[in-house]
Amino acid sequence: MSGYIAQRLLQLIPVLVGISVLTFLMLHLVPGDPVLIFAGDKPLTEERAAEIRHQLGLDRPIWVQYGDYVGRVARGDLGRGLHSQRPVLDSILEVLPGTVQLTLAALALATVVGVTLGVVAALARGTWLDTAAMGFAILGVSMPVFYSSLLMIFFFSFRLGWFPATGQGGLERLVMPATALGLISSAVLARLVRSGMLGVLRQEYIVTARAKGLAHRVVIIRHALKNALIPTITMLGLQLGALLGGAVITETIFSRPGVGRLAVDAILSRDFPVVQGTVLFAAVAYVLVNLLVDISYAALDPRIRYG
Amino acid sequence: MKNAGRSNGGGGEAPALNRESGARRLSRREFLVHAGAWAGAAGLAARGLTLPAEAAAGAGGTLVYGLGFDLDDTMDPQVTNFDSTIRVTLNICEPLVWEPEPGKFVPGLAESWEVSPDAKTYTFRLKKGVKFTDGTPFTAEAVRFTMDRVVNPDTNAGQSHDQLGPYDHTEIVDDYTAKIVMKEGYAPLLTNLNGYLGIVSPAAVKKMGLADFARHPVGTGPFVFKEWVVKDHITLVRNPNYNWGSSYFKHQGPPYLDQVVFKIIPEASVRTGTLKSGETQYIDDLDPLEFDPMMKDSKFVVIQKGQPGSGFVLLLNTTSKGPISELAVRRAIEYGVDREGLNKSVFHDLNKVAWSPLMRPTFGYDPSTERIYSFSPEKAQQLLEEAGWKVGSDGIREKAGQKLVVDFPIIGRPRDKAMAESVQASLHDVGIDLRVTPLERAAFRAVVKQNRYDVNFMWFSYGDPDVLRTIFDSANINAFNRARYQVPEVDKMLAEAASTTNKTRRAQLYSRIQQRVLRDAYVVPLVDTITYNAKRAEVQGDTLDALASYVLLNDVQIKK
Repeated sequence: MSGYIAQRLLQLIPVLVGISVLTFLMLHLVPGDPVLIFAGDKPLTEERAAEIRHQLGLDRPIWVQYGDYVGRVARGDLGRGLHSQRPVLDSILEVLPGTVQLTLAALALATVVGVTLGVVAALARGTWLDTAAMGFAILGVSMPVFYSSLLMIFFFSFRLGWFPATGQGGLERLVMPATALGLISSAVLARLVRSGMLGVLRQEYIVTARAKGLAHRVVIIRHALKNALIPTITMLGLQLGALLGGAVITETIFSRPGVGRLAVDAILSRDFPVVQGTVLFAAVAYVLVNLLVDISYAALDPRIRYG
Repeated sequence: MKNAGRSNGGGGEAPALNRESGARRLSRREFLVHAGAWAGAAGLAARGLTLPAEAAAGAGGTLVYGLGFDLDDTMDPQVTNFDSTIRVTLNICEPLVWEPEPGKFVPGLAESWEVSPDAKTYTFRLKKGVKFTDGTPFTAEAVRFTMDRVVNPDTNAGQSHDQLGPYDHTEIVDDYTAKIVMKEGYAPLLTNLNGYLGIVSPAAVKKMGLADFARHPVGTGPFVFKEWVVKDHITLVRNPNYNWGSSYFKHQGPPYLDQVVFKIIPEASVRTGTLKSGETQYIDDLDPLEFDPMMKDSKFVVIQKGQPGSGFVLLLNTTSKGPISELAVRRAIEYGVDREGLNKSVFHDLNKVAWSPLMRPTFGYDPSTERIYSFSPEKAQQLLEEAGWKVGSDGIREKAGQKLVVDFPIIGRPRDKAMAESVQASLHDVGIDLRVTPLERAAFRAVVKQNRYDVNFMWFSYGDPDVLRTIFDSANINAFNRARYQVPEVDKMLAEAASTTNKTRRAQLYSRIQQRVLRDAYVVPLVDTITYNAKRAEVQGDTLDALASYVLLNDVQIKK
């Protein structure tokens, strides 16, 4: 197992290098002179442009700039926001708890709802329960998160007054955004679990378990579900990316602080270091979560390690 | 958005604008999707008329203000580029003078002031006994400190830099007299001494440093900063020692409210919904779709006020070699654009059709400009026929083998696209092929820089008619003079108007400039923009300033 982990960690190196190259190149690949990005939109004299270019080190060879960038990032220095002059990392860490809270709540909700629906649908295959569960899944996958968010706000906040529509803090402000965000993932998971369960239920070891006289509940949960969940775990990792992306919209509509909104607002106010920092941060977080998923996958299914 | 503040820019490029402009602020608006626009006419719909005695009875409480646009990560008035930031900081860092209506000034931290006739020297006599909330006294040194930090490159000043114009230095005559000296005459300074030049505590800035001050601003205002939860809310509490309120307000003592919470709610429909549910009591930038229902509901008050500055206009490139180099074609565009239709389709009829590059509330606006052109497709067609442009088989006119094609690159934002498409449809009806090309912002700026366009959008909310210098002075050809308009006579009038305090003379010059640029037909005004805010009826005593952007809370009470 430790060999497998070491191997996966080594594989991470090229991925991280790739991410750093791409985030570094963002500045150079977007159209226009990078100096203009840092100077804001004000008309600029040639001298002032040259001065900024020099200050930012943009007059040096690009590989030197890249080396410098990687060195800084490795020390946790993501630069400073153009407006706030604060370290970008501080800005990210400040809003991170909101995003973590929202995505984890959404993920938990998606897992519980998705797995339950998937199991129910598989066991009740062909009945109205199956149709209802899969109908919900199709609805969930097709409904854009901004739409479900607004519907929930109008119904539960403005019509019924059950939950506050905006802000962060307390369970009552988490329920709606987490539900809106988790809806899509729960639908994806429900479909996956259903087909996984259907596959597993046909396996001979299930027949064996039943033949041994095990209780139905034990067969379903211990033997069938556990095996059916293996692909689901990979999907959970991938869904995290979708959740992070969806969080941008959810955070905006529910007026919640978070990394997604930090990134979008930075794009709008053209605060390049913050954009670059949040992209790098999100990419690394995504890679690390998927690494954890892969490792847990290997722990759950010994075949993977040797495969 | 509304925003008005001054500047902003917009329109067109608005975007970029942000400082780009020579002028002034732009910012936020641009982003706002709706932008500015909206319409109407002005007038504050509502103001509380409470007497001080009654006021005491209604004292206290918390006002939750739904801000439609977030801050730009700073609360330092001299650093920010956003009007939304100033809506918060104006309650903390007060200006030297207030401007209740365009061109009318009343004391702020300055008790009185004198402006030299050449508009180069501004002498302010300051109120005595004023204290910053860190306990240090407010003196002329604070005025010098605030102005000097704007031009200090280390501050990385935002809009304040444009507001301050050709600033030279501030002279401390005595503890309570400060003289601000400009390098050249600069009549807009009083207007520009608004929130972006709000006075900060020198002691606090020195002690905290820039980054920390930006999170904990200290001024002399009616409210004191308490808490900022990024992207969620900002809380201010009342300054109990405040007793130097401006005569602009109905009472000069501490505010009635115990605290104000500025909640950042970017989604317009949600923001409006929170007003209905009571989660907020005041919101800026009302969702246009909610305008009618709110107007009809006595539980709410819609506040509308026209913005000063230059509204949404098209600037036609004077250096173009294409068909618009002909006066007849340009005039046909003036007659051919259906401004009513545009206002309706893009702005829900909430803005006001424009005929001048100055919006109506601006000082110097010349109402006779409304008679120069009108919407008349027949007249447009006639002008084109007479100039030899004949309708081709595809409905587009042509002359000597040349098609009547006009290039119109825009930034690919929803509002800009909607406006451009509306103009395109009108012009197509008279046989002009307006080629609208939505571009990514940087690509757009490259096209502008390389001078590869016939038409550009522009928009600037700004408190003074000097905004015309931004868009028509030949010195700004590489900035916001997108018409690349270069007429020495107009340059001369613009310079003279900026460097005199004689109002009659200024008005006369600005009138001539408006007439001139319209007759040259290098500017096609589209709509004047209007601010729409809304509040619950129990909120009384709020005031919207001359820029139709900043909500002043000194007199606000929440009546039960």
